[in-house]
Amino acid sequence: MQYKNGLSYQIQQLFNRYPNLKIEQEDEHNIEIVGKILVSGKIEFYIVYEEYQVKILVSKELNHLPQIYEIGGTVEKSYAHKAGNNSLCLETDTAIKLHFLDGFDLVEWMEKYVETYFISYEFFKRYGKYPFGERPHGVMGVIDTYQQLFKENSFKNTFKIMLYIAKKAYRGHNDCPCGSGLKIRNCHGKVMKPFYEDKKALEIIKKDIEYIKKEVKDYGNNINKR
Amino acid sequence: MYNKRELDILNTIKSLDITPTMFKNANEKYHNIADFLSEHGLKADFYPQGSFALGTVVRPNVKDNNAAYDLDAVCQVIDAKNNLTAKELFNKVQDIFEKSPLYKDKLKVYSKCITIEYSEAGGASFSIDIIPAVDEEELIKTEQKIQSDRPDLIGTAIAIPKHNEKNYTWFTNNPKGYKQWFDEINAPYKAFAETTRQMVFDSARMVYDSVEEIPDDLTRTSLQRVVQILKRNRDVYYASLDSGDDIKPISAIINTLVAEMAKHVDPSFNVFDLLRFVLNEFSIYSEYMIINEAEFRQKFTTRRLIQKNNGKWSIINPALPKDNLADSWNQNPDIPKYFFRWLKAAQKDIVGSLHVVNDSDFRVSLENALGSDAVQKTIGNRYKIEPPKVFSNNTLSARPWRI
Repeated sequence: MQYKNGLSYQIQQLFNRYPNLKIEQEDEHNIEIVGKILVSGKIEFYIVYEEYQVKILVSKELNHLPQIYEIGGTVEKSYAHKAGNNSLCLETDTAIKLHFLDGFDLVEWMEKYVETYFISYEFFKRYGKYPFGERPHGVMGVIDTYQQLFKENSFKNTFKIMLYIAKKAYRGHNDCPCGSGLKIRNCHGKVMKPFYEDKKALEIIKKDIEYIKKEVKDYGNNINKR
Repeated sequence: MYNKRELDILNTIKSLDITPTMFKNANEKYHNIADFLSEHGLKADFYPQGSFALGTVVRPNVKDNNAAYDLDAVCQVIDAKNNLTAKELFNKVQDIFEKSPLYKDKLKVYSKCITIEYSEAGGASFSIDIIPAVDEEELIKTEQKIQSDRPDLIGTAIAIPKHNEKNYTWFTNNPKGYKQWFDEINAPYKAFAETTRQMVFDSARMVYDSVEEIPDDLTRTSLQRVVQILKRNRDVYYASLDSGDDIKPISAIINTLVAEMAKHVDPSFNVFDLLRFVLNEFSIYSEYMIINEAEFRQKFTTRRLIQKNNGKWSIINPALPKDNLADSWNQNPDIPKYFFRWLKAAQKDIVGSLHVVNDSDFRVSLENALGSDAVQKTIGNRYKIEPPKVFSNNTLSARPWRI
């Protein structure tokens, strides 16, 4: 995964868009950016207009997605959507990586994921419910991402489709792996094709299959131990 | 007396009130209907009820600025309840309007009322919901008098026909008694509204550039303005929730609780003093969401306006003890849950707006409090921020990836 037009360009664009951010420090792996962002958005009749103090860790090699922390104390400690290290849980890595297959764009990441996160948080504080639904954490979140992509309710079918993509070539006239009895081209073909058209996407799905398998195995082991 | 921000809030709520012209017009229509009924041989007492009777009207619809105002009236037929069935009474009143060339094209019939729609230009349309009624029977009145600590109010109780799928039933209400109760509490507030008129004029001249901007809140008392502000804020809050209309608290609850609280307060309180007091009381009642009912009763022995007994919520209609205004709270637990969430947001939106440092934060709070369109109409582009990006389910996840 690359930064679109290179990392320097991305940082420059970020500062253009959010002029109150600056580089706090830099080492061989990361650039640490700190400062204030103004989030302004409207959901139905509710307007959010708030400033947040944030810290963003941008990875130089981009084997990791950027991580963002809210350091002003606005987001309550108990809020569910934070990772173990207190970074904000914006979306599954899978969803974000798939979105940025053509090159990672920091400003787009901020607008699509970070701002939405804060708008959602404010709405949740006001109404006690999430305006755009919520993703479960961990492996369930990854499964949920593919279920949403494939428009599939059943995890079993979703996983079958994932396995097919990882192992077999696309043949539109084959039976769809979801077990519907329809041909792939008349069933999940449309949502499967993009994974065949981009090697990076295929890599992502293969990694996620291994992750899911491991989590299920660990879960099974833990059950057996009891 | 009021600072600039307070005047902005008052001007905005005033723009949502019924104008003097509309008021005159509506009164005329009420009189026309009363005359029409007597000319057509229906002996009836025709009188306004609800917000028009109490002086707490607000524009009813957040989503549609030109929606008609809803005014309510009772058509109390002079006859004994025993002489006709609920169905006969409803049909009697319905007939007389349906047969009239003047009203038949403006008519809509619903399960409890007959609505006459008056369209006027410039967002000044209104409709009058007419409720057929008859004097309630003595047995019910007596029973209510025994239970009430205001038996003097019960005499005006009426019986109203209500139509569900299968049949018509009678149910009891007391709008005249309620108005009397509300007017008694409002009376001392009225006295202050008149005497401070001149003071507001003078102090506002120093704050505002033009006299036209000075709100005429003195024709409404602090009590009436607080009710209006809360009703409108309720509408804006619940407009952002799916099925908000189904779970928002009825205006009768807001009228009753605010007036009960206002009974014990200095009537010289201005709108914001009273509003702060009322919202503080509500924040105490919101402890029902945190501690159990027995703990609440023990901790707040005098807070009895909203009661919860054996899991059952009640807010008693002060003019009719058997009418539990919080009845729906016991059918759907979301209703009390969101009621207290709304009031917490009201505190932030309205009272909070007065204390934020930046004017743009004030503007945003004000729009969240009373609605963006109303604020735009009242203060124009003052303190306005760049239009915020609209977030909806469509703008986010749903864009199919690569498809």
